[in-house]
Amino acid sequence: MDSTVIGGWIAAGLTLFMFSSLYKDNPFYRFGEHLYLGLSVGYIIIKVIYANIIGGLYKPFFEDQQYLLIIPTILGLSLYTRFFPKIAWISRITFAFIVGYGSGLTIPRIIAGGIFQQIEKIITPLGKNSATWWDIFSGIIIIIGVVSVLIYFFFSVEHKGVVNKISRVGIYFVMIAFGASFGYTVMARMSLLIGRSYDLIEFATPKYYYATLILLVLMVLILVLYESTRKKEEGSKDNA
Amino acid sequence: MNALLKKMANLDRRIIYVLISLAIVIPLLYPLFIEVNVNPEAKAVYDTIDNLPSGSTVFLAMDFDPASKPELYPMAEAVLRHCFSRDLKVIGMTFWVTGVGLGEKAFTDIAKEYNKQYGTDYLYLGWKAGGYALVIQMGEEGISAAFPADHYGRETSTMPILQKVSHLKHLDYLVELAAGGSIGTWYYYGKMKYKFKMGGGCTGVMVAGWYNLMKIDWINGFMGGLRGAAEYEKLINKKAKATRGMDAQSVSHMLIIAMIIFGNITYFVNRAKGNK
Repeated sequence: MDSTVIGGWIAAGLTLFMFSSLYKDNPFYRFGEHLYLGLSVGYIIIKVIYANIIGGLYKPFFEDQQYLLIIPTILGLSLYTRFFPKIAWISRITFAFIVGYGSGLTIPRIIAGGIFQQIEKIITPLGKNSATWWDIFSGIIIIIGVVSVLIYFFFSVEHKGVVNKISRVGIYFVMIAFGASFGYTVMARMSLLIGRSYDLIEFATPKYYYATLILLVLMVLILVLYESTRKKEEGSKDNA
Repeated sequence: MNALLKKMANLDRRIIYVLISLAIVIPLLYPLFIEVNVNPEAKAVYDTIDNLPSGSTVFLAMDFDPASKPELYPMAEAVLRHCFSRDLKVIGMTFWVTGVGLGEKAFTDIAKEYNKQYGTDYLYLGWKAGGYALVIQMGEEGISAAFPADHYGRETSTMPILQKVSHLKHLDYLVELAAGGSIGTWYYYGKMKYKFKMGGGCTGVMVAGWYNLMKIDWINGFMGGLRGAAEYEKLINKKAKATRGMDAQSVSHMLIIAMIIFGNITYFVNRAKGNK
């Protein structure tokens, strides 16, 4: 039995463990959940130690003599002074550096690439010489949508009269957007189920020694036994 | 009839789970071969890659993990197949530490199919922390400065693939396969400054937002969810997992639509009859 087959059995088993929660909470599901949490945290810690601490600090510092790395190292370590109230103020230096550097780098780009670019593209189709009737129509719809939704979320003025009518239009745009997002979310969730089902079907083939089928039968039997034992125990407790 | 309507209004959710499972498993076992139409968004990504001259370099950012594998992994395979079939060079990496293995598998499997040589035809950089700082470093100091060693620990600066394409500005195309907000990182700190062309693929949940990104020229095209992957498979004429999954997707969607209609009818009839 090679590692692919063993991997198939583990994957099939854990997938069935997680799907078992659709029936009700049970030990299989709880085991799978805890295993997933433990494994992913352990994996991330090891990857970070190897990539950041060994690959990004230890090797360049000791092997390539990049001694300037001492500055970010001290700044990084100073964050841990948060755990010691008397010297916690030291961490503020690093936080100031992170906030200052991050804001300076991010804010102009988001304003230019996010906000201005969106506004520019909303307006452009109406003024373009080569714009088709469809472009103009789409542009008008987008402008109506943007304006009405902005007015809907503008709470400094009471929503009465014209403002109320425009904000009502805004609600319809918001609902259509939510509907589209929800439709795509359903599609995404179905895709995930398809992905797991596809693998379960594959693991049910002779190549994997019918892993899915054997594990499913075993799981059902154990769950039935577990339920009947639990009910008996509950019954005896009630009688007592 | 009244009792039946009441019962239907309080249907056990586990019956719905069983119906959905059947709607997915049966079409996977017995394919219906429902035709997939290609949208202009996916075609734009295909056309861009298809029109690149042989020897050009595509950067494949695989920013997802196993939770999004069913949607984004087939896209990665399809894009790699397309690139390798056209003799394009591909550099890959991920911002998602839990997705490192998926990237490695896709590169290794597809490169083997096309007999491509590591370091010359393709390179997998793997994962490194840093986010936008990493993108800036790849743009300013070079890819090998940001990744002195690849996923396997080999030195990158001497690799033939990085001799012509040393910085982000040298890329011919960047394909971002995203399960989160990494498209912003690549755009704000990469494309905005280094002006490379960018396309991508996203999970179904993100599709509605990505239409907007295409409209404002962040990307020139994208594959949306499993359907997007199936469209790309059709374009490269290599029907794989995504195409097979589309039958199940269509049947499950039909079932959900039917259940929504049925649920609403039951609700209104019950209300008209005064049932709770």
